[in-house]
Amino acid sequence: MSKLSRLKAPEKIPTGIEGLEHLTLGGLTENRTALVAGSTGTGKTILGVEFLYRGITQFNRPGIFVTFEERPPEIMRNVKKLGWNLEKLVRQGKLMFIDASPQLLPQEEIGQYNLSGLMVQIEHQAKKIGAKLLVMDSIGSLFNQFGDHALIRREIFRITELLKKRGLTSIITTERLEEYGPISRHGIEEFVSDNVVILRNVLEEEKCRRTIQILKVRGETHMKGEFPFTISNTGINILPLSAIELKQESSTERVSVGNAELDKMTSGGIFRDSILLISGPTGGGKSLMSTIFSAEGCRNGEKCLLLGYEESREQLLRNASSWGVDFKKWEQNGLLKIICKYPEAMGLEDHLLIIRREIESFKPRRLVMDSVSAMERVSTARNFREFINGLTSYVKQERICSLFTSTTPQLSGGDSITEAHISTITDVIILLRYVETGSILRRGIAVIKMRGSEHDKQIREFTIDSKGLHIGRPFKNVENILLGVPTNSGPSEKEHLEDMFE
Amino acid sequence: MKCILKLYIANETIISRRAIANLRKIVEFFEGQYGMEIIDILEDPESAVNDHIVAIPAMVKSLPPPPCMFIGDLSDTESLLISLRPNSEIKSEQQE
Repeated sequence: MSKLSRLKAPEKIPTGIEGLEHLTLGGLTENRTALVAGSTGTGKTILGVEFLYRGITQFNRPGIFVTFEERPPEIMRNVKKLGWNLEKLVRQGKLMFIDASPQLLPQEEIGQYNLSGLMVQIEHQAKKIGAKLLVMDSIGSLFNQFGDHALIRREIFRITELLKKRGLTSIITTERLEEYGPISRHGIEEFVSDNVVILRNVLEEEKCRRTIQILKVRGETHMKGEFPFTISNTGINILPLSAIELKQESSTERVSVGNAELDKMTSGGIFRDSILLISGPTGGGKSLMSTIFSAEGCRNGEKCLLLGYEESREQLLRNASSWGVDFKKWEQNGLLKIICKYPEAMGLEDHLLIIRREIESFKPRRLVMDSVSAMERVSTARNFREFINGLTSYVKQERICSLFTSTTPQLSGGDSITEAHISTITDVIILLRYVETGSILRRGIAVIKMRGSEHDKQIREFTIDSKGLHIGRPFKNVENILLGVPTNSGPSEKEHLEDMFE
Repeated sequence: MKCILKLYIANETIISRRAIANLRKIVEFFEGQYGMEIIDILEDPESAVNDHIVAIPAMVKSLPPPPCMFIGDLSDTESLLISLRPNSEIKSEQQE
C-alpha cells in the first residue's frame, strides 16, 4: 500500500517541435514510449530526428537514435539542409547512433535467438552518454530482417520495458499501409500503447496534405482530430488551428480605414484588433480599399504587410500610384512590405507558415490580404476553413488590424463560399456592389456588420478617381443591393422630373 | 591457417549454452580447419556496437569467403556443416 501511494502521475516533457506541445498539451510522457505511425513519406524519420535534435540542443537531454533502415551517415546528411548539425552532437557525446540497419553480410537463421544484442547496445550506449531520449526508426524493418515474427513481437515488448526501466523517453516509428486503416502494419501498438501519434500524407484535390493526429496519450488529455503540418526549412511545423484561445482583451481604440467618409460610416473607424472583410465583385474597388487601408497605416508610422495573391508586385505598385499612393517610398522606409505569391505555388499550410514567419519577423500593425477567395480556389473547403481559422486566430493574438478581401463569384454580388466560412470570424464586413439605376452603372458601399459598435445602415454611392475613394449620398429607391440583383424601384415622379431638366 | 568462427553470446543462457555446444561440435568435425572465439557482449559491449550485433546468438564467419552471419543456437548442425565446408573440399569432390 505504501508503495502504491508513492506512485507519481507521469510527467510530460516538451519536445521543442513547433506546435506539438500544444497538441499534446505539454509534450510526451516522460519515461514512456510513443508510437509514431505513418505510411511512407509522411515524415516519421524527420520527426524522430527533430525530437532528438531539439531535446539535445534546447533541453540538454542526450539521446540515442537506433536506425533499422537508413545508415547513420545518410540520416546526418539528409537533415543537414535543415541546419541540424548532428555530427557535432555526436562529437560532443550528446547523440549516439546505433546502426541496426541490415548489414551487407548475408544472414541465415539457424535455431532459436533473441534481440539481446540490440538491448545490450542500447543499455551500453545510454549509460555512456547519460541518454534521456531514444528514437527507433522504423521498427517494422525488424520484421523484414528476421523471420520469426512472433518472437520479434515479444522482443519489441521486452525492449520497451527496458526503455522504461532505463528512464528513456522514446519514440518508435512504424509504417502503415493505408492512411485510414489499421494503426500499424504489424500491430505494434499493442505493445507500445502509452502514446500513439499518426502522421498522414493524403492527396486531396491534387494537393498533398500532411496531417498529424494524437490518437492517445495515456492518462492525459490532448487535442483531438487531425492537424495539418508542413516540413519546412526549420523542421516540422504543426499549425495549431484553434490554438489560441479567444481570451485577448478587446481594444476600444479606433483606427482609420483611410477614408474620412468611410470612418464616419463606421462611427469613427474600426477597432484596433478588428478583422475587416471587404466583399465585392471583380473591379469593384477591393484593391483600392486595400491600398488606402495600408497607406493610412504607413502614414501613421504603422508597419503594414500586404499579401497579394491575385496581382503581381508591379501591378499593385502601379494601381496604388494611379490613386495617388506611393508604395515604393514606404517600402524604402521599411514601413511597408509587399509579398506576392501565386495561391497555386504551395499548399495552404505552407502559405500560412510563410505568413506567420513574415509576421514574426516584420511585426506589422496592419495586414492586408488580397484576396482570401483566391486561396479558396486552390483548396478543399475543409482545408480552406483551417487556413482561415489559423490565420485569423493568429492575427487576433498578435493584435494586427487586418483587412481581407473576398471576390464574389458574380459581378452583381451574391454569396461566396469564402464569406460563409469567414463572415463569422470577421468583426467588420463592408460590401461593395454594382448598382444599376436608370441604365447607369454605379457603385454602392454598405457596412453590414460591425461588432461592438454602431454603424451607418445606409447603402451609399461611391466613386473612384485619381485621388482615391469618395463616398457620396445614400441610394434611394434601390432594392436588393445586398441580395445580388439590385432593382430600381423607380424614382418618385418629382425626382424624375428634376433629373430630366438637370 | 585456421579460420576463426566468432560466436557472440549475451551471458550464460540456455540458448547460448546450446550455441556453444553446437559450434564446438562443428569445429571438431572440421578437424583443425576452424578455430572458435566466444564473445560475451555483456562483458564486451563495444564489440556488439562495432559488429552491429542485434540478434543473439550470432556466429560470424569471415574466412574462407563468402563471409556470412548465422543467427540462432546453431541447432541445425546438418545445414551448418554444408554451409561451412571449405571451398577446397568442394572443389576436390567435383574433380573426383
